[in-house]
Amino acid sequence: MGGLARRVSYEKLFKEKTGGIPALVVDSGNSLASESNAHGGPRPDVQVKDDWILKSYDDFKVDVINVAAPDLRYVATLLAKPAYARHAGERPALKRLVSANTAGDAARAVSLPPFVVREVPSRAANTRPARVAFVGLTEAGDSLPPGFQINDPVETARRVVPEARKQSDVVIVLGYFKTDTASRLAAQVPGIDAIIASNSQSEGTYFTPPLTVGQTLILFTSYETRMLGELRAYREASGKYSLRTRFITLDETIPDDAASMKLVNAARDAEEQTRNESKKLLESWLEAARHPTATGGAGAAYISSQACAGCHQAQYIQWANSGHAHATDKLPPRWSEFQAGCLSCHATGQRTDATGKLELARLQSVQCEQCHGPGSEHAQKPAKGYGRVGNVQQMCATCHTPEMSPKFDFASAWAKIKH
Amino acid sequence: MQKRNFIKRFKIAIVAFFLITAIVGLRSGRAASGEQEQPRRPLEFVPVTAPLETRAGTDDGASFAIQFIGSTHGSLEPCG
Repeated sequence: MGGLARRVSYEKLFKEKTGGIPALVVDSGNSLASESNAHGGPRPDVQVKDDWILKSYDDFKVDVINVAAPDLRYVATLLAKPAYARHAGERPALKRLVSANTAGDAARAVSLPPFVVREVPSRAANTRPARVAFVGLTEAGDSLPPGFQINDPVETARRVVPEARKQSDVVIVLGYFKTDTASRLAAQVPGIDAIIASNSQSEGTYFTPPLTVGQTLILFTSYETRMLGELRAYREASGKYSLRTRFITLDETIPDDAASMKLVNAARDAEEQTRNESKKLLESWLEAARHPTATGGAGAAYISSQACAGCHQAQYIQWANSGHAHATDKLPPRWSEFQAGCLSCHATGQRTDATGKLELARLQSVQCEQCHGPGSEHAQKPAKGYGRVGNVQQMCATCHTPEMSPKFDFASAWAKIKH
Repeated sequence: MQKRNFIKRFKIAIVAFFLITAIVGLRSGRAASGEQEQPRRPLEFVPVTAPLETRAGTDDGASFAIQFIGSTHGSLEPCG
């Protein structure tokens, strides 16, 4: 049930059957893929998937999109200031994102608007359009992209909702909340007509029933939008709006819209192609790294830890029993998220040449030469000075960063490999 | 005598006229207020058994509609 193609098909049916009721489409959030790689960072296949979701918001218009905590990882990559203008030109949906309580480093990331106001044409003669304000809020998530924070949604709403109220006839909060957070928001912040929320506790729960707290109607989007929610507003004689909710099951009775189905298929193909490219790159590198060749050109070549073992047996044995000797083993099970950058720390000898071109790692796993440098000249002239590491902690930190190795403790790690 | 009959018939006609007017007026009022008094159900589920042509409902005079989605976790395809 659910899916873009059925949703678009229903929207067309709605237009056909209800004629003059103007409609807005909004997303309460948690609609982007949030799977991360082994280090909590972005994956190339997930990035492609989210690119297509953003495209679908433009091709089959979604008027307002709330950025929930799980969405922030992808959105943050597009808000970075140097590239934002280009991204927004390519993906106009970026300009329809809202979030009142997520904040990035102002020097490096564009801020999202806390709310937007949409005008809906009036159906009655001589009546001005209805102004509907959408405020975006989210609970905090498990992890945040660097430089971003999520402020308390209720505290933020206390400040933002009155501003939205001044500019609108109806205030809707789009949110990513547990039920009790939504209830607390409704109870403590006056002026909200309705909260439309993705339930942050909804895993496996198909549907959370609506509830009313004070004057605020709280609605939860159906899990995975298997049912489309529809909030209808009726202008009363007083000028206020009363609300009525419908949930429409998006099952196979609703046909797939052809144009949107085309996008769905293209997105699936693009994602699969990205994963296949990752797999192909990893497999070809593993094969090449089994049979390393000399670097060519000037400079020392990588000769592998087995070559070092000729003279440094004790150090070789110590290394062979360490995690460094098996660093590449972690890559094949995660082939779908593999990128060339993984080899900077899971292999030996990756570097960028003088022209800026990336040379893939020469050897599998973290071998002696990853820290001590290519050893061919030292092997030929052992008495000549080679490979002294000045600041060991700094050397380790090039790979064992807080993002990549959050549990890394230098003192205990060094004690294991000291040589 | 004829004059009395005429006046009597005239009075009956007047009374009948007002009676009919009142009855017609009451019925119209009930019909009109019946439409207004029929409450809008605040919550409606359109089930899987509903035929396609009825799923969008009708134009019930709503000023506008907000169709809402979410929690799709990166999927454009049907789930479940």
